[in-house]
Amino acid sequence: MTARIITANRLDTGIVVYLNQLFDWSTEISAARVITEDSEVEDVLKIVDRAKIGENVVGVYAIDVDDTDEIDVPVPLRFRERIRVNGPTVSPHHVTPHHA
Amino acid sequence: MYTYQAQDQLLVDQRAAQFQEQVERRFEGALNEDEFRPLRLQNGLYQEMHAYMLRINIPYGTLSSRQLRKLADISRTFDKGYGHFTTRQNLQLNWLSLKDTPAILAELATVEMHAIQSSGSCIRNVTADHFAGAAADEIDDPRIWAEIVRQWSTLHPEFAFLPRKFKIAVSGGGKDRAATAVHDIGLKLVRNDDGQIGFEVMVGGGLGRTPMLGKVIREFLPSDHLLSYLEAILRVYNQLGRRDNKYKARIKIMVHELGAEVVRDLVEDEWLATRDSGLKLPQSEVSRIRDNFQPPAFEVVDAPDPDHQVQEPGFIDWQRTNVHAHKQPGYNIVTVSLKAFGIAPGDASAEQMYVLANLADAYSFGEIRVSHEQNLILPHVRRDHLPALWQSLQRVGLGTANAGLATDIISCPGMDFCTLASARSIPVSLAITERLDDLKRLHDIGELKIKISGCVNACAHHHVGHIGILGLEKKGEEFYQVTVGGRADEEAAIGQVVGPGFAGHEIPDVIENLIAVYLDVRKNGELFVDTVKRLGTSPFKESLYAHSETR
Repeated sequence: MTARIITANRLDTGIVVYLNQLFDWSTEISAARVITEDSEVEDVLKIVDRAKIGENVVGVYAIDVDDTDEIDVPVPLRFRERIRVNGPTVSPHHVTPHHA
Repeated sequence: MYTYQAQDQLLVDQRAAQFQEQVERRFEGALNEDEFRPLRLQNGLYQEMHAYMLRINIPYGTLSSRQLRKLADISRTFDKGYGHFTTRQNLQLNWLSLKDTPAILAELATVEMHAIQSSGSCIRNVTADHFAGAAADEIDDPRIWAEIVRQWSTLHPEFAFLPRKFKIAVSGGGKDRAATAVHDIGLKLVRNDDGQIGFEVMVGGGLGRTPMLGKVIREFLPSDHLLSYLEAILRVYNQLGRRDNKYKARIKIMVHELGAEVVRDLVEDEWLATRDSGLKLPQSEVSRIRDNFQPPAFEVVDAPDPDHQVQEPGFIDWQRTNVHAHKQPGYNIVTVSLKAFGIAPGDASAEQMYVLANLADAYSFGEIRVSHEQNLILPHVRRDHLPALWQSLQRVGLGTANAGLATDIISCPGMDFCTLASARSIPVSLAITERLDDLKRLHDIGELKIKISGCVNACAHHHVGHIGILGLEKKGEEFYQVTVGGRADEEAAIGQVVGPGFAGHEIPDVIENLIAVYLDVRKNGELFVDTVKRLGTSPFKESLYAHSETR
């Protein structure tokens, strides 16, 4: 299957976060837990729900990423998700999230 | 300007306090997201791509300098020091935290502002001609009537859960600067043969995935029946509007499916039962509201024409495009362009807002307007103050001489910010601006309204752009569909698609191509959109696709 990672936005600040190996949320996509089995996506989402790991975030969902060996950091396949990673593509003063 | 009464202030103060409690309960876990979402949306707070976005109402686009300073304060304290003015005459802040929002609402309440009903299936911020109270061609000041509609529609219990959102626009009766034909209800001030003021009422206009122009269902509605008639329309829509499919839930679909005549009959029947009820407007109440919109203390201006004072080409260009006729001799209306080179259309920094508030105090009786074309307006400027104003605007990047020209582009936030978007809008608008950054050429091209939406929801009104650009996504890639011939004024028309879409990087060439065709075939004084009307889309299509057999 295509590799996937779990993303959401933080409840308090709204910024983009990714589920990491420790079942915590990180602002760094490089720390994201990469899932390579279909069944594991469901399992991880169930754990997030059951363990209330999603309490401090909103809009939890899985996204497809490129996670081939040549790449150190997972790269979302959809352009929209790449904008979520990097911020708006316009105007320098829009780039750095205020609440990082 | 309208000044809040005690009950208005109580309402916004209470709402800010309620939201404070709701946010606390959300953080404590007493409310889950499903329970909390409608509460935050009722206060205009959205979760967007990178942060929370707050949509702040600016009723009928009218701001005082005090309010603009507060918006600057809020954007600097809680956001990233800028705000985005929208096609609904609102301000959106793109980088907010949930935890700060109750404090922001409390701050807004101190200057008689709020974000109530800026989201959801309810009656949204009522918009109006941004030249209201200043335009020489208006029959009456539309803000008086927009304020009456605002008071009636705010927290109206019957219309809190409509089939879909509902937008009302009011024009002053001359040139339509409020895009009334593409609103759920468009009200145009008119005068009948007896000299009475009333409204021509249009229903069922709208853009989005199914663009439609409103249909006139009443040519003259006496002004004292405004609310009873609006209530009859909303009641018919609330009962018959479709709730089974959100894409067919706007009143335009109801009008299209039933026919304007049937809708008119249903509304008139409903109105008969209520027209002389408590909703009939007492003259005393209209006068009370009207008193809030009295003209400022205009002076008799006995000064030389600014043309004789300033010979700088930049000033002359600016005066040609950004300065407009005023009803008061010696005064002008000034459009302050938020379309400077390299800046996202509609964006203003906190610093610019502070400066403009000061300039409004100095030169425009402390009044500012927001136009649906994403510019700001100083409505009452003495003609002999224009050179000094222009010089001050220039210093803070607000003196761009492009109002109404091809770089005065309307753009939604697009996929750089918006979760609904299919493609980016702002970079495309910036690329067009970069390509057309020759003022002399822009002035030669003349009025050309380009509007770019990042998805079918059409927040940037692309269907009624002289050139409309719609961003879409196909197999993960952005592409852009182009329309020509749309317009939002009194000759409103929906643009025609010219053909298959283009990649984003091709759009500046596409615009160049369309302009080249226009310049080649236009007749004297003819606007781009008039050329399209005269010749149809064929010459433009032929030129665009001449070398592209595979498109």
